[in-house]
Amino acid sequence: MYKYTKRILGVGLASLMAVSALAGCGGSTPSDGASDSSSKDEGGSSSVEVKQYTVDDVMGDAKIAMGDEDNVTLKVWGPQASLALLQKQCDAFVENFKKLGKTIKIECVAQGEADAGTNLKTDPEKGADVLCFASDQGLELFKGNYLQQVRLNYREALESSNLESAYNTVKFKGPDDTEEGVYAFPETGDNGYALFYDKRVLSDDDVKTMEGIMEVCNKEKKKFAFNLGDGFYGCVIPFTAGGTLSLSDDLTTQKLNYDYDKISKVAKAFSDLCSTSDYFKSEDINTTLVSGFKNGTHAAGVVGSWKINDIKKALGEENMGVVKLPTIKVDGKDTQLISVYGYKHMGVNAKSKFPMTAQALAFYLTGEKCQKERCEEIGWGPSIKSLAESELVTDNVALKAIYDQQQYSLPQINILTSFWQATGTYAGNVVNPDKKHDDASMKEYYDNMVENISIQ
Amino acid sequence: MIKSYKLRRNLTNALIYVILSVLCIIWVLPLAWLIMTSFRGETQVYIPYIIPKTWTFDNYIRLFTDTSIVNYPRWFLNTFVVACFSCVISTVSVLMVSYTFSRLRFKSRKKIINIGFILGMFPGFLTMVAIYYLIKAMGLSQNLIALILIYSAGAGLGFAISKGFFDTVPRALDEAATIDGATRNQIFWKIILPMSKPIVVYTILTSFTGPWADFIMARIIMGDAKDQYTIALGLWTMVQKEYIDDYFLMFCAGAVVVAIPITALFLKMQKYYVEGVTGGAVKG
Repeated sequence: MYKYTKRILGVGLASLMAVSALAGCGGSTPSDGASDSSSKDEGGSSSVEVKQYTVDDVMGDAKIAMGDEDNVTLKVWGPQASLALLQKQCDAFVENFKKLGKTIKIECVAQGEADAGTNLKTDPEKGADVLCFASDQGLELFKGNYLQQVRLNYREALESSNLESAYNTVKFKGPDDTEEGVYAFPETGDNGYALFYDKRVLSDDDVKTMEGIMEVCNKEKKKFAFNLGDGFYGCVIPFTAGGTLSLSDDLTTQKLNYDYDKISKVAKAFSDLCSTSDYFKSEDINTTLVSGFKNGTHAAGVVGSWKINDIKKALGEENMGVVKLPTIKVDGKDTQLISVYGYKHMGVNAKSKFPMTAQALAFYLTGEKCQKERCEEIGWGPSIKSLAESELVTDNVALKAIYDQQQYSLPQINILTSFWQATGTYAGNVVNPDKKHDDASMKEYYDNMVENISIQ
Repeated sequence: MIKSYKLRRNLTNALIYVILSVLCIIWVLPLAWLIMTSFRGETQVYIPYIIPKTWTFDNYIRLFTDTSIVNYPRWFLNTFVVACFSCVISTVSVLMVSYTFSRLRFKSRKKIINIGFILGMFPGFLTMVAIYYLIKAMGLSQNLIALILIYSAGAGLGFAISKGFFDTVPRALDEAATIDGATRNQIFWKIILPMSKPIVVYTILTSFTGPWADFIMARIIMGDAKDQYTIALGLWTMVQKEYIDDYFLMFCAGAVVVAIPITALFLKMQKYYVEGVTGGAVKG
């Protein structure tokens, strides 16, 4: 009897483990996500005439917004800074459809945009239905079928209302697709960076050129922080030399349209100016710059819109200057620094149980009304064209500078993940005073970068 | 060559003390910095000097009162609950497994011990993906019970040290107890355990500090469920780029508070470490 019990127990436990392991595997394959009926919802081909809706249409008709879905529960991922406002906007969405006879429950959970994509990939089923993410993650999320294609009915509204460059960063085309699809809703238009400086130290003229900034910094013994060791900033060197990026059709190989002769000159200019000064710092800007301004150890720094409010607090509004990136003297000629320019988007999880409502919610949250509220209340730069050109942006010193930089930048598209680290290492070496900067070493740093970008 | 013995001794001692002092400063400075920073009044993340100019308790007060975004008390409680449960379960299971391997003789005992050793060589986090999917299949993800399960389920494999200890306890004690009519179970609880305080204490300490400080598993299991975070995850959240400018000083205060339960546990248990118990017990 004892033997029997043991055997039965053994078989039972083994099968339990096998079942749970298989169940686990089921959850780990997101690849079928985009091919389910919901995600292809009217999204197959645009050759058929598709009725176009605006946010107002969606908010006015539950059938358009939600189809047959009811008793909907959604989770939204947004960064902490916008969470309270996001919840308020979601509540308004819920209230609107309550009047139209639908029951929706929405919970907003704090999740920074930088990690949102990674966390969605970890377990799409536990991920949010609607998530805010930075544009650098778009390609990976698209390639893994983690995002639902945006309904064709919303495309025209998105295309006509958003900045063209922002709209371009939500379009993707896979190797088997005949045409580009739209996979996210542009949420902000300010995910780039600009030059922040202390007006008490640097004048408006000083900040026009790198040479001007470094001269004052060296004289005043104050630091200029520009985190070239991070690829997001480091790409300034190849881009300023006219480099551009593209992707192979199968989306697996990064093509660098670089000209080493030109890049070497820009790199030399950076190296001559920066690696020789104790006051040029390629450091983690997110943790040091605000303190540096407050302590008076930093005179200037290049950072993005997410630090505007903190820097304003540290310097005081009257002392905070923000302008587009400066120029640098290359071959005796002032050359404008070219940066990469990103956006933030809202995407809908391909595994969402309520795809129609989730899409309607993302459409509403990225619409003009919500973007305007975000700009007014928390200072986020809009991606809606009319708002980006309005006084909301032009009267805001910091946002205006960031939008000004947009014309001297490449949009954050066609970039593989391997690009960032390799580019950052290259640019970091160029300005690192402890590294050699003779021609052979500089070429070696460059070759390493090119090689590491091509390794997948 | 210095001839005077006294001078030579003094010089050697001086040199040793200098080296020890330097090492001591290197070791203590980060801790001192952390504690000073947790009482710092200047709000920025970095200051260009080491000793703060203004001092305050506010960071600690805020840590326990300003819970809308960073809910430290809740995280502390979560961690405490998980650590206590894991500690009890793992301690009991480690000691039982060790006792079994030390005292009982059964078929394939050696093989099982060897398998145990080999499995124990793989760091637990190698299996984290598999663990995640098992936990998810059980419907326990984003749940503290999952953490307790993970921390205590494999604990039995850590039998090596306590088995070694039990091997030093004379078998004559077991035999004497058996003659008096005690069962194996009674011998374990009533004879061996009371005499093995040092190893019990050691096991308790290690099985408490493991869960208390673990980050990897908690990060995998908890995802976005902030209410279920443990302290390690919570502290990590506080230094993310969107939080750091607001929460850095609270982070330092939090890092100091984290040390309190472990220090308390250690101080309470410390005296048992030095009590040698086994020697001479047979004579009784």
